[in-house]
Amino acid sequence: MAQRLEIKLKQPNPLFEKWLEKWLEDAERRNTKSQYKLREALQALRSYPLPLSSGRECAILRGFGTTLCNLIDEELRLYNVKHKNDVPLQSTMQTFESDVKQLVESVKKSKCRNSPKKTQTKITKKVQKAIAEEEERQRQVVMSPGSFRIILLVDTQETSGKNKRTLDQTRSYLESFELLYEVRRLTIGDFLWIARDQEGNELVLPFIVERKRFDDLASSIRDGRFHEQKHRLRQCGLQNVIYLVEDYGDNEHLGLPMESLQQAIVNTQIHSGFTIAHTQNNFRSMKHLQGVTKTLIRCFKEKVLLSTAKENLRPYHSSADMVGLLKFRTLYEDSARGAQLTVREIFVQQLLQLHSLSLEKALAIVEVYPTPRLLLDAFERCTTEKKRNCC
Amino acid sequence: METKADKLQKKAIRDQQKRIKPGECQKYVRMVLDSDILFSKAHGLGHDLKSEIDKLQLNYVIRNLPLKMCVIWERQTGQRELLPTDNLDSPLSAHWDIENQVIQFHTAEELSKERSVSEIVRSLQSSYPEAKHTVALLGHRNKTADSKAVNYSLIDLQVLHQTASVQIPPIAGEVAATLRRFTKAIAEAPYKQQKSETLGTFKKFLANDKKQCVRVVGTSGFGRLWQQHLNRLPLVTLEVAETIIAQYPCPKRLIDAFEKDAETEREKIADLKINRGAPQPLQSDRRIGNVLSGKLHMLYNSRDPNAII
Repeated sequence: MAQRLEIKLKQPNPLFEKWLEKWLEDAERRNTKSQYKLREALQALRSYPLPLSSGRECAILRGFGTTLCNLIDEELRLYNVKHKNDVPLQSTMQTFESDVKQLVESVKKSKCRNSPKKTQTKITKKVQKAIAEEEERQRQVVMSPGSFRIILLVDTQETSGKNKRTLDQTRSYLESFELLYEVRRLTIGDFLWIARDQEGNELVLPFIVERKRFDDLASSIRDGRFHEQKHRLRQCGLQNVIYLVEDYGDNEHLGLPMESLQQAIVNTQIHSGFTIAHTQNNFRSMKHLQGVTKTLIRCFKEKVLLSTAKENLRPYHSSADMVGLLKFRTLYEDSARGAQLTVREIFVQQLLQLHSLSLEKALAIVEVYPTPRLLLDAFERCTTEKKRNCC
Repeated sequence: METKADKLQKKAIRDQQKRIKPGECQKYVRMVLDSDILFSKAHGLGHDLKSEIDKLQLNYVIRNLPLKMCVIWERQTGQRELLPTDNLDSPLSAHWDIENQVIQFHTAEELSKERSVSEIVRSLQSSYPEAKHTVALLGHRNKTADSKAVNYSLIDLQVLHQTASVQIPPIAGEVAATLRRFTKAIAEAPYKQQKSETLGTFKKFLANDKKQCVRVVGTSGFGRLWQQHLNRLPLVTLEVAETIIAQYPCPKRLIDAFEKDAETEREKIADLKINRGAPQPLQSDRRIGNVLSGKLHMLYNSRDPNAII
């Protein structure tokens, strides 16, 4: 039976990588705006498995605009002039292919000698992956003062999607404030802060921002998302929820009376315990986030950060020297809409599908029979006829 | 046999429940305003505020509070001692419990002074250690927003001291309206607290799903109900549900099949082909798959309510 062999070059483009690294270092030192794009390009280049022969070819990768490709081509030209007679450092596609052929032959030869252990690896691979993931979750991460940077994470929904104009604005405002930020898909909230160390570990600061423009607020109240979103924010494990309410022009034609919206905002503070921040427009919202970011950087500078499981999180005090924080990966996975649903929860939702069953009744049922199986067991045990959910 | 004591207790519980319901609850909650507020010369406070509050018919008293310029709230809890001769319907005694919210009024000038924020927080903590504090800033948002010092103070308040703040235009009508909103929210807080205690243990927010619910009349409607039951699982789309229903038109068939032979049933379900309309050559996930099959099995067979699907 044929076996799949995966061959990857360790460093398919060492020359281009080296150049990008140098340019990135310069940009970081001078703190220019190009560092963000350079970083993105370098990451893309590192993930690309095949050798590229010119700057122009690099254009297929993320982060490589025409300027950067031209820079590389220029650098390559100078390099070739300098090293006319040397052995080429960067492998071309042809050499790569012939190397691969050689490698396949040698593997074939060695395979003949060893006994096949195929089926064993097939089973353990999946289990291995699960074990590795669990280990990664449990692994303790410690960050001492000075070993981490604080980065503002912006949800992709805030910089792309429906109204592109306003949302491109968000990005440009953040750029102009020279804040360390990253756009990323978040499963909860619109803005988060992470502390990242040299190894790439990421711990989430106990603050999360939900941005609500007045028209969003009105429509979410009308279609019921308002309470659901607040529920998920309370469940996520990040203690300080900042509800950033933003004016929508003159706040007219919102679909709900202004007094109802204002009451909803006060209710959010008093009942849900969120901190309310009220701004006039997108710019002021971003300015506010800049202020909070700077304060957080100042506040966390001397702290020791420790990765902690959600059930072990303690209330956050800004005076504490050591803080337990969630890992970003963990928060991301656990806060997704379909994550971590239990049998009981799905059962309650199923019960609610019946029109005459109210929430109170469903909860009462689940109190005694927490799973479908247990309810059925009870039915089987009893002798009188009861209403059943089947054809 | 219910004794009189039992009856009394049940009535007390019922009354208490009625008292915290939205609408009713505001009758039992009142504001307590520090006397300095009503003598203040600041815009938005003073006599103007008093007349606005009176206009709104809010329930309040004026008192000399231990911390100046504060507003607190009190609730009549209806504790009463009954003598054997007392009538059950006699009015509640005037026993008022303090609620856990405090607002303190400040002007922009006060907030822009150095170290003012930590001092304000410290004094609030020492006078009302158990309460949640809100700093009410009297000022127009347009103008104060330009003041850097005030902004820094507000952010420090939020991030360093985790204390709430609210900005109110220095107009008596606006201040009164804000106080009314707070009063309403505080009055309804116990009711909301009760609701969130049951719902809070569930990860998924449960109170929303009533929109698509199925009316079952006689025996019709069960088909649709079964389909919606299947949809509750996160991986199940309409086509997936239809495929399952084609094989198992009702839950009983599914459960019986599992009981007969779980292993083969799971494989059988996993291999059911989902019909996604026009067959496309490169579609790979036309099977239900092992994962979903496993989840179905777990949902209908598990006796552990906390098993994660």
